[in-house]
Amino acid sequence: MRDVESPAPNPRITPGALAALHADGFGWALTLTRGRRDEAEDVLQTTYLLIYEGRARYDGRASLKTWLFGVIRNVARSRWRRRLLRLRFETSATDAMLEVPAAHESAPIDTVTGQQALAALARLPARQREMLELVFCRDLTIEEAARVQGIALGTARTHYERGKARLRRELGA
Amino acid sequence: MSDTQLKSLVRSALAARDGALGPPAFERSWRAAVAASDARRAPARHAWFVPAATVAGIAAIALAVAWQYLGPGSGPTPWTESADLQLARELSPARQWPVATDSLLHTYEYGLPSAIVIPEIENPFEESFL
Repeated sequence: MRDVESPAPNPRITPGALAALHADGFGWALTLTRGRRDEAEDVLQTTYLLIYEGRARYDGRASLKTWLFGVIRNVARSRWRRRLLRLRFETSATDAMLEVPAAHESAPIDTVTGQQALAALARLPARQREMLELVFCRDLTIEEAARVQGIALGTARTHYERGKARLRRELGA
Repeated sequence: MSDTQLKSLVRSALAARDGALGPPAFERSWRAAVAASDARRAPARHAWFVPAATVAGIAAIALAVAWQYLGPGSGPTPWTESADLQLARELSPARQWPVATDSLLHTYEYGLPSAIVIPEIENPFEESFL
């Protein structure tokens, strides 16, 4: 990639490799921010900032994609926690913040099945939803998805199976 | 619905969402991150003001203290008769006033602070009460 500086503290990462994962990373950030585009952009940019400054270091133990998705998840979680903490003092805004936003539905999906699938996904518990997305859509193995979520492999398998069963129920299939 | 069908459904739904919202260009996100990092590392434009003001304040205080102890007129203050004592002396010249004393000695001799010396002035109406 031309004119894009490499992150000096992370010699194992090239901007080209990050660029190849950019679209997937953005999709993952979208899921973590419940479909809020601006927030997803902020999360991704903060992730790049951490990588550039070396505050998130890639040691090559996992695949770059697994590691990157883990960092994105941590950034999104910490932003969410900070936001909740701030809103705890603003009781009027807290209710609006805690309700599940319907941003998924705002995307113009052509097929009714697609919208139904997104709505059904949104009703799943967060762990199950994330597990299904990582495995089905982001092409990670269950083991890699477990690493991204920071949970044990057995727990990840449980979330995966329960997620599938619940999604089937939600879709009436 | 089989696992494959479920996977295909979720995949196409999320791909449609991602495609509809559209990721920002990688270069834009990366450059924004680099710029944010550089901005955070660069010193603020008026960062010199706070240390300069602190040094100037400390210097001013030190100068004021030095002037207090070393400047002109910093020796022992010469004794001057208090205004009260002068007034009392004028109003009752017959009385034996100490020639040179300070307020402490005055208080010692008369048992009262100098400001309360004034009631000792001869009262011109005193006899009329008797």
